[in-house]
This record gives sequence, C-alpha cells and structure tokens, in this order.
Amino acid sequence: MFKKILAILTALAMLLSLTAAFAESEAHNPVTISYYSTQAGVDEETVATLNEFMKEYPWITVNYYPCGDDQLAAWLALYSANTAPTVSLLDCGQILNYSDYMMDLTKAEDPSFFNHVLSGTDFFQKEGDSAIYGIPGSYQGFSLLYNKTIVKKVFGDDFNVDTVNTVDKLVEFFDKIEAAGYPSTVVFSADWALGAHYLGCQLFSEWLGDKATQRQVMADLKAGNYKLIENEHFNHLMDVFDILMARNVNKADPLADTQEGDLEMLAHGKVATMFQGDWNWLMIRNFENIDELGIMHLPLTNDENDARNLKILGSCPKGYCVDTYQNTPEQQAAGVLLAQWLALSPAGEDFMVRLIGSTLPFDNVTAVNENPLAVSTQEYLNAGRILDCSTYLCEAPTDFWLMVGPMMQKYLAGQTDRAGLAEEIQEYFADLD
Amino acid sequence: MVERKSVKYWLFALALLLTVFYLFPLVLVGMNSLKTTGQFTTNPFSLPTRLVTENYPQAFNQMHFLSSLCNTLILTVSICVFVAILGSMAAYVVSRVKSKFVSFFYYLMIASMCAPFQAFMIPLVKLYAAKLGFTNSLLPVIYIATGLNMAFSIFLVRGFLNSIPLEIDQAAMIDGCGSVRLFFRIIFPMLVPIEVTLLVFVAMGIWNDYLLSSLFLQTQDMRTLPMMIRVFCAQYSTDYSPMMAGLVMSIAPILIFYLLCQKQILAGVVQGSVKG
Amino acid sequence: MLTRRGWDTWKLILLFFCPALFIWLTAMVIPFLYGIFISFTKWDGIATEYTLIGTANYVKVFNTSKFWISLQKTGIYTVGTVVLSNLLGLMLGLLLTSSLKGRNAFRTAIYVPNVVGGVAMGYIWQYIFSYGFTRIGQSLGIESLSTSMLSDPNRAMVALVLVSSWQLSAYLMIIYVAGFTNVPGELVEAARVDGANSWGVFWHVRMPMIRPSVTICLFLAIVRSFMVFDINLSLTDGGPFGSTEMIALRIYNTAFVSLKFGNAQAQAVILFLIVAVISVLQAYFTQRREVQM
Repeated sequence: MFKKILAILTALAMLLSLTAAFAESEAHNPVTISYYSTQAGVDEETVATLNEFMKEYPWITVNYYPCGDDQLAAWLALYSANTAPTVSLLDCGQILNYSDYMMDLTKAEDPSFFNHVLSGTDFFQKEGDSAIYGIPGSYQGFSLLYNKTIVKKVFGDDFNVDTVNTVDKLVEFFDKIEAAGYPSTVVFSADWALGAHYLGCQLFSEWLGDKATQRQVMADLKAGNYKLIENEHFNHLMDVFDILMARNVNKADPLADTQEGDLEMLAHGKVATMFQGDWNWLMIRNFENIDELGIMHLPLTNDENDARNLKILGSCPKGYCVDTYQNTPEQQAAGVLLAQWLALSPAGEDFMVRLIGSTLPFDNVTAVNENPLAVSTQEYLNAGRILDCSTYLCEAPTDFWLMVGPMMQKYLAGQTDRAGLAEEIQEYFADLD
Repeated sequence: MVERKSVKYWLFALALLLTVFYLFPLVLVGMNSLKTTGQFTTNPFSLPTRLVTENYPQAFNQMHFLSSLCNTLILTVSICVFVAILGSMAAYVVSRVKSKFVSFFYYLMIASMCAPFQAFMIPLVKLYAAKLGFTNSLLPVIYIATGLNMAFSIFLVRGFLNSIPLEIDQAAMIDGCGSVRLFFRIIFPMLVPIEVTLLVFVAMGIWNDYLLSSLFLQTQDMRTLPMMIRVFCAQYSTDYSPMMAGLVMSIAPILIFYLLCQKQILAGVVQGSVKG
Repeated sequence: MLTRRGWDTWKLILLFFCPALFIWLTAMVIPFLYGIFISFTKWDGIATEYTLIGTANYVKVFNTSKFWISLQKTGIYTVGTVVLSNLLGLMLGLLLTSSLKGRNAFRTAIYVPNVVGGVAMGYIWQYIFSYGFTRIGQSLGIESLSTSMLSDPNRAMVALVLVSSWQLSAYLMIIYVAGFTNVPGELVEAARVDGANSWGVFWHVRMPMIRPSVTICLFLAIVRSFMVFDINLSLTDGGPFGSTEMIALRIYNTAFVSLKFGNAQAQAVILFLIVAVISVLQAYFTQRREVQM
C-alpha cells in the first residue's frame, strides 16, 4: 500500500515538474544573445559549455564571439558594429573603464547569486559607488613560484616555507639553495610581468597603506607632486628586486628570456623560484616529467611580525559583465542568467577550474583543481593571507604596464638606477591627461 | 650564354646557401610540428625523437580547417578577380588618357597606400557594419579589401602599361576597334605577366590577413585560416606544436598557387617580350 | 597620348576609371576622413557622441618626445630595411635569372617564407635569436653572439631589420625576377660582343632596363617599412625597454591599450602625411627618370 502511494506520489511529482518546466519555457519568449570571451585558446570547450547552457535554458540562444589575441580591438569592433556582446568575460579594469555601458548587477532581477561569491566583487566596483559591474570569473594568485622538489631536497621533507618571513631569511633561503647547487631564482623580463605584476600590483597594494592611502598616492603621482624615491615601500620593493636581480640565473643576458624558457627551467629543477602567477600552469603542464611546484609569499621587510610578509597577491582579474547599451532589456535579463550560470553553475565552474586551472572565490565549488599552483593560492586564500591589489587593477591607467614595464626592463638591464626609475614613473603619471 | 664552369658552381653554391638562409625558419616550423609543445619549448632545434603526428588531426579539428579554408578561398579568389580586372582597367586610363581629373586621383591613390590601416579600421566598422548593417559576412571584407588593394594594382599595372607602345593602340583604333574591345581583346592579354605578379602579392596579403577579417567575421563558422591559427594562443600560453601543424596546412594551398603562377610568369614574360 | 575626342575620353574615364575610383573612395577615403574627424575629438571607442576638442590631440602628439623618438626609429629602420631588402632582392633576382641549375626550385624555396604570415614567423625568429644564435655563440666562444641580439636596443634594431629584409626581399625578388627576365638576351649578348665585362653588362645594360622594377620595389619597401606592425609585435614587441616601438605599433597601443583613440588617430594622420610626401616624391622622381632614359 505504502509503496503504491509512493509510486503515485512520485508520478504526480514528475508530472507536476514536467508541466512546470513546460509552463516555464512557455512563459519565455525566445531570445538571442551573444557572449564574448577573452579566455582565448579554449573555443571548443566554450562552445560545449554554452550548448549545455542552452539545453538548460531552451528559450535562450547564445552566439559565441571568440576573441583573437587583440582582445580589446575585436571587442570594440563589435560595439562599433552595433552588435555589442550581451555578456563579456573581460579584465576588471576594462569593465570599469566602460562601466557606463554595463549593467549594475546588484540591480538584476534576482541578485541573490552574489551570496555564493565569497570575495572579489570589489574588483568590479568604482570608488564611491555601490554598483557592481561584474561577476568574478576567476581568481589568480601570484608571488614567488617555487620548485618544491628542490626545496625538499635542500631543506628536508617537512620544511615549512612560512619560516621564510623576512627579507634576511629569504636571502638565507636563497643562499642555501645555491649552496646545494641550484640557481635560486629567475627574473621573467616581459614588460607586462615586470610592469603589472612585480611593480604595479605590489606597489599599489596594502603595503602602501589602506585603500585611501593607496588612492592618495596615485592621485599625488598624477598631480605630479609625489616623490616615489622617498617612499619606504617602493624602496623595500626595489631592495628585494635587487636581490632577485643579483641572483637571476639569466643575469648575463637578463632580457633575452622567454616565458616558456623560464618556466621550463622552474618545472625541471634548473632554477628554484620565479616571481609569477598560478596561471602559468597552462604552459607548464605541456612539459613532461615536471617537478612538484607551489607558490610562496615574497617577504619585503625584516619585520617578523608584519603579517604582510606572509601574504601572496590575489586578484579577480576577469569578470562577466552584461551590456546595457546595445542590448534590449529582454536580452539583458537573459544575459544575467548566462553570466551567473557561467560563473556559478557546476558546468561553468568545471570549465574554469579544470580547464583554465583557476581557483574560484565561491562557496559552492566542487570541481577538483589539478593545478598545484592554484591549490597553493587556495590555501593562502582560505587562510586569509592575500594582499589586496585591487587599487592597481581597477584604478591604475590601462597602459601602466606598457609604459612602466620597459622602465623596469631598463633597470633590470642595468641601464638606469633606482632614482632614475622613480623619476621616469613620476614623469609617466604626470604626463597623463 | 657563355659562362665558365667554375662560375656556375659558385653560383649554385651561393643559391644553395641563400636557400638555407631563407628556408631555415620554415624547416623549424615543419620539424616542430612533429614534436610536442613541451619538446618544442625545451629545445626548438632538436630533431623529433619520435614522430608526433597527432598535431595535424588536432589542428585540423580545432581550426575547423575545411570551413576556414573555404572562407579564405572565397575571399582570396573574389578579391583577386576584382582587383585584377577593375585595377587594370583604371590603370589603362591612367596610362593612356591625359586628364587632370585622372592624374589628380591617381596621385591621391598612390598617397593613400601610405595610410596606416590602424587609422581607419574603427571608422570602417562604424560605416560598414553599424550604418550599412554588414556584420558577420564576407561581403564587406571582399569590398573593402578590393578598395584597399586598388591603388597598388593601378600603380603596378600602370608601370607595365607604360612600356607597351602606343602604336599598338593606334593600329587597333585605325582598324575601327572601340576602346572597350581594344582593352579586353588586345591590351588585357598582354598584361598577363604583370597581372600574375600582382595576384601573387594580393593573394598572399589576403591569405594572411588578420586585422580586416577580424573586424567583420565574428562567429566561428565565418572565420578564416589566419584567424583560426590563433585558437592555439591562450592569454598566457601557446600550444605551439599544433599551431605549427596548422601553419604547414595553411601554407600548402597558397604554395601550390604560387607554383602554378610561377609557370605563368615565365610564359607571360615570353609573350610580353614580343612587344619590341 | 591617343587622340580621342573629348566625349570618348570621358566615356572611357567613366567606364574604366570610375568603378575603381568609387570602390577606393568608399573603402578607403571616406573611412580615413572619418578617422581624421576622430583625431579632433576625445572618444572612448564606444560612445556615439564625440567631444570635439579642436587640435588638442595634435598639440599633445607634437609635444610627446616618445612620438618623435618612435618616428625617428621608424625612419632608421626604414632606411636599413629598404636598402638591405632591395640589395638582397636584386641579388636574388640576378642570381635566379642566370643560367642556374634548378632555378625554379630555388625561386620557390626562397619565396616560401613570404607565404607564412608575419606574426608566426616573428615568433620563430625570436626563438632563433634567443636560443639558436646564443647557443652557437656560446659554443664557439664568440662574445658578441653569446648574448641575445634582442636584449640590446641597437642590436634588436638590427635584428628587426634583418628579419624584415629576409621576408621583404623574397617579396621583392618576384618583381626583380620579372624585370630581369624582360631584359632582351640579344642586348646582353651585343654588349658582351662589344667587350663589356659582367659588371659592365650589369650596370650599363641590365640596370637601366629594370629601372621600373626598382621604382616599384623602392616604393613598396618604403611603404611597408613605415607601416611595419606584425614583425615588430611578434619579434621584439617594442622591446628591449621600448627601444624598438615602431610608429604603427605605437599607434595601435595608444588606441587599444591606452584607450586614447583621438590621440592615436592624430598620430596616424601625421604618419600618413610624412609617408605620403616621401613616397610620392620618390615615385615621382624615379618615374621621371624612367621617361628620360
């Protein structure tokens, strides 16, 4: 008897859910939207993911616009053609630059999806504005990548890198590695790596002070009345850079390296550390027989009690935004569905975690990350040991890396000194419109 | 021609040396298309230890090779036809007609070859896509590329036309031949060598064009080979080996075209030299 | 000139010249004028309204030393590339029209690099410079070769000229080959009979005959060098420390990295004027000499 009732109930429930689903699709008019992604190199997988979305939301058709390597030009061309993508996965700085054309997602019909987002929404907010223009799409940690295999060989299996908490200890750490016969570090010399990651993100971070202080320094630089060379943090940053430079395995020809070449050395134990980010896994995984790798912090002072010495840099570099300028309200509503689905659905998370190897700052992630560097990032994130660099990513001029990167290269090549570098950076800021 | 044997050998050796210099990077591409990306980045100059052939099917699939090849072919062929015919017609006028109107625009066209494409790419999209509604279509690319190559075509053909004696035109006209027939029956056939040279340039430019196509062709099924070769480039990493396999496959058709043209150039030149 | 009656002339112009003119005007001139308009505005790349700011962009460009440095570098690069690529192209043209065994095979083999797009070839060369030449230099103990050419501003410029000439000369070779093939064999023979040596034949018989080819090749090389973009981007990306940022790359970066569209358009207009004056003068003078001879 009980079984019978259960069977009937189940049948009834199924029927109900079916009609509900039917009614739901009935209630929606078909709508066509488009998606632009700056996540290059994974077009097939993106299309497959979008197909899954369209299966779940049968009334929405999504056209996919893959990007070339000139991401912004192609995106702007779509705007020029009056065919702005409904949803775009863009750099946070870009979204904020063009926020006039983007939806404030807190005003979406149902913004409850933000409840799953643990951190990173501040990368899509403007100063003094509560609007959020993007849903975080990935999370990236960067600092000192290190070869665990070497470190274990030199320091023993249960060595804890957290003991490297001052600059002096970092030097000692490097010394011991070198004594064991391994070059201690490689300085990757690309303009974007030096300009954006080493200098930009680290300079305009909480090392400089709280958010207000960081903004003030940037404003003073733009006004042309800030002496960078007198800033303590800038000097710390460059002191450590001097240490890295002096030990750089490419010292003889510091600008001749390539990203693949440097990573190959790191992955195959030809060098112990490299200042870079967890996204490099995408390239590292192409190599055969790679060593165990991880990320550790880069201490900048000799103050053992300074918690910042034990933090790595973390950011939400990309997010999903919804266009309001050339898309109808119906398209925008469908766009919000797509954006949140891409960010927070199991399929969307699977794409980011497994394929791109990114950590995600959400509370509902089940996909397992195969990227050991991102696993390190996650550990730092869980422990709250993240240096906030949103001031740089969101508020610095978009060409900072393009202009300052070469200045850092000059410094790396010994063509200028610290005072000259500081002077050039000041000139760059003063010359902005 | 009388040339001493030793000179011949030296010339041959020189040609061989130059060939190595010119071909070496391409040999690297071919060689590394048979290795894994990891092997390539570890040592790009090593010979493949074991032939990795998977790159080719991978590139074929990832690039949607057939559809992108088809798009590229349509673009190249149609642009070449328009540029060759319309360009040489205009060049004929430039070469044969004394008119302030014509020479004014001719020099302006020459000057326009010096306009950097970056200077009008966004306006192009604004006009053709936003105002005229040509999005995601090969048509605006064909039309615009024809326009962009027109000056070059006129410039090149005009130089050649100037070396064809006027007496040929005059003789034909005395025989009662109208201008249109004169051009298509008598002049155009004489232009074959320069047309082929022109087409080699134009075809190569279109075959490798990325910027212009990328402005108008957005969805995957409309993309061309140079656009699809970039599917292997992610923001921070490049899958080099399949990319090189893709490169080899994209070069093949245009190389065959060049080989065919080369015969034509020689044949055409023999024809052209009768002009005396 | 032919003697055609006025109406016939205009019919010919209308029928033969105007279609090409129309396409060229609509595909090139009108968008370019639009671009000039943008150079007088401040524009974010998306908005449909433009803020007119007069000549402010031009003033800014004129006062930016980096613009002039970049222009100067482009000039140096152009001179180097035009000379080297034309010398190489001439040599190839001469060599590959001589009675050489396997001539056609050589022509094809040498032409091949030109078929591959600039960006891909730039990456390959980057590897050759960074890892190939340096390994050779280190193993042979040649100091100047053991560090990468790409990490020194002057040598990076040389590298850029080399790679560009490598590609461009294969392109120019075609025109030179066609030019040399057009030189009637009887003329060369006659000169030989008159006792001219190889150099004399080359200088006094062949060179004058291929002057139209030289005109075309110089013009093409000048224009292409001034506009260099692909190889610049993929080989040096403007480095080391911004020392090889040619003007086209700079314009692109100003627009799409710095997001200053008006400023970028102003730079483009100035570049256009400079290149147009140089190349039209070059074409005008060399073509006049052709007529004279």
